[in-house]
Amino acid sequence: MAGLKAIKTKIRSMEKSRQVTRAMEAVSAVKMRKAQLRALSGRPYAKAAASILARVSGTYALAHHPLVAVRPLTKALYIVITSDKGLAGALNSAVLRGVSADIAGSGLAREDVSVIAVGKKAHDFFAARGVRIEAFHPQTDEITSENIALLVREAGQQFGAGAFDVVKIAYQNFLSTFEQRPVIHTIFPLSLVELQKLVADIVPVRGKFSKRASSGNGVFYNIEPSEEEVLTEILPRLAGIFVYHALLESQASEHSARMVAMKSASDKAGDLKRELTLQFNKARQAVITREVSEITGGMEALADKAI
Amino acid sequence: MHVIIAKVDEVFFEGEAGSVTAPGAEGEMTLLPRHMPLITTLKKGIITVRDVKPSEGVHKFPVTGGILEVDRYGVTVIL
Repeated sequence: MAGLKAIKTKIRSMEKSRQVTRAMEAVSAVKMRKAQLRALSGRPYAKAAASILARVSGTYALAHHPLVAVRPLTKALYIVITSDKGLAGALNSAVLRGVSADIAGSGLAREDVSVIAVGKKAHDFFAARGVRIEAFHPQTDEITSENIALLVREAGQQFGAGAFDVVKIAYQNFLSTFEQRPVIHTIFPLSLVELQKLVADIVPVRGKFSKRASSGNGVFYNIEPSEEEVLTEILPRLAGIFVYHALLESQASEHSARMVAMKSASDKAGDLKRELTLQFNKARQAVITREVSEITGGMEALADKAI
Repeated sequence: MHVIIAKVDEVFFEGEAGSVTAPGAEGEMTLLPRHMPLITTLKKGIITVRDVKPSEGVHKFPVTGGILEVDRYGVTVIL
């Protein structure tokens, strides 16, 4: 019976697929843990930067710094962070859909929007839709401070020069292994309120980096050489915290989404294999039954002749 | 005093120290405990952190820029 062989081949290929998806699941699990660990290493920096910012906030110099200038919206730049590879469920499409909706909601025409794409999926998506790609960076496993500084410089210079009135960053926010949600934050004009909210999210309540309370307001500080120069140094670093956080979150999300996707693929492959095995056994049983009845039929015929 | 020297993705130094010497915008300075509150940008140079007991050790960190803050708890440097 031809069906038997076909089923057997299917069972074998299902087993192979299951091995592949299980290996990918394991790899993603390891990478996810690494990304989560890295998220902890950025905390003292975020805390320190926020506390320095608190010292200079409210000064005249800050209110008039080019990186915090609020202008009427005519041109927007989006930094969109996705993965390079697929097989991660609805991860990337959720971010891309979110950005598309945000652009539509802002009422800007397509030619007034530019994108800095981090990750191949974001690049392909916007390139196919005719949106101008300002720059493209592949997603890397190692996030270095040079990468972050580069992104901030690209965005900050354009914003400072007035080429764009708003710079937003879109990424997948890691809530838990099973839940990620796309978010869009405004980086420039730099908002102190948003930044403090972000820092409050990343700084742990207890543990290693939580013990240093801020010294409170009203302490007199000497600022050298001038408020302007301190701000010029610190504002890009604060934007860097946003970018760093976004990159980490999206990596943790990518790996956990892929892990979950691969887990369900493995489970499904296992189910299919069980079903196919059952089908195979039934077919085999049918073949045996038919052969037995043929033999008995033949014997009956011979017995008839003998009499 | 408590000293933190950190980059966005890495902490170079965190702990108690006796003094910190850094290349400030207005010239090199050495900060001792109970220094007055201060925020300054840093120039290219080397930050030297000395442990509480001078015999215990000295840590040096080359920097190309950054911001240094002194408050009543200690010194924070972000690079």
